[in-house]
Amino acid sequence: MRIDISGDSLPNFKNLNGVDGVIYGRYNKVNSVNPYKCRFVAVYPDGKEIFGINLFTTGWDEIPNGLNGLRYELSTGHIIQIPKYKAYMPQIEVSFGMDGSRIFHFINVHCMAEKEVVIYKIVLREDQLSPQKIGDIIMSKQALPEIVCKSWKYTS
Amino acid sequence: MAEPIITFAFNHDSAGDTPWGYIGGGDNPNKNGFRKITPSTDLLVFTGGGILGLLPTPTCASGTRDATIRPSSASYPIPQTYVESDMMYIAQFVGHNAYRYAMAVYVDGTATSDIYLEAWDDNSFSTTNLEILVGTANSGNNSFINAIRTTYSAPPWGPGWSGSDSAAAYLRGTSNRIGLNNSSTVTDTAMYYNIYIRLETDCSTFHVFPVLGFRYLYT
Repeated sequence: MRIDISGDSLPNFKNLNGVDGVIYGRYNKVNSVNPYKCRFVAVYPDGKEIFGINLFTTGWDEIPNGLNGLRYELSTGHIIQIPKYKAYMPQIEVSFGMDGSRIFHFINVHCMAEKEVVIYKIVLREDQLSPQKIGDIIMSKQALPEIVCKSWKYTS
Repeated sequence: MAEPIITFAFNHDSAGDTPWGYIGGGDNPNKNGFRKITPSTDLLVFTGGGILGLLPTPTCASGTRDATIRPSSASYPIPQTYVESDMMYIAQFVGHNAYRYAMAVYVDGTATSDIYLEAWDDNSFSTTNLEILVGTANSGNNSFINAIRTTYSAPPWGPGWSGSDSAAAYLRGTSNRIGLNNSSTVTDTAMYYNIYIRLETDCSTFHVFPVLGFRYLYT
């Protein structure tokens, strides 16, 4: 299946299909998820699931607090289950070129624990130079935020 | 939240080193002497200082180029910068100078990080192998592309500025870049920078197309 990328919003992508796309660089070849086909799934105690939209318009800020679980579904079929924490705030990391190109690097899922923030960095592209593959998770930690913004969603 | 809308512009006004004044939404970005840069169709061209000397201003025909002569005795900033669309429009205040409102970026919406200006070989945003980014011995193995954040103040001039100044960088991937707002979030904000390319006497002759990109986070 081919995806209609309206308005040439991803001019650097070649062979973009329902699974992934390719970006041919001068020295490197990059495989990327299809950003239109990646989303979060927020699970609530009553079994209800709220689905995100895509990586451009995530829909994250519109979901209510009180979720019971969180997972990410990538276009490549990877499903990343995030363990339960006090709260979540995912951040998409993107590069936007002055030639109109875009590449989505990571979803940085910030997870609030008792004494720290644990970050699950979900890899969205792979190439011939980096050991990271699509769907890999890079873990890191940072201090609790001094100011908690509304994009943090609390669990039940 | 959705990805913020990023709008690029340059100051084409021959009269004033003044702010853009663009406020996003339905506002017209072509105001106060600034012109919008349309990604995917417009091209940022560093040229001049060759056989022709300097190209005509404020505009010249699309496709006009003057290959800058490689310097023989001292490094040399490429003297002119144009944005090429239907024709070539001079970016009047871009270059090795003390102008503040040269290039502009507007974030319509919210980025949950600073807006980082980076330079890469191409739009795979994955390598920095071009000589213009790697540099030469005479550039101290620094990139030839010097950029500086001017959102809050004009570049220092004592005389001149380079990628080693505060709020500046010799652009190369994620290791050498500038944050345009110097903040952890950016909402509905215009930011400014200046940029130039300095050729070294030991550089090769080249004609390359590195990509300037902006990296940021959003929820």
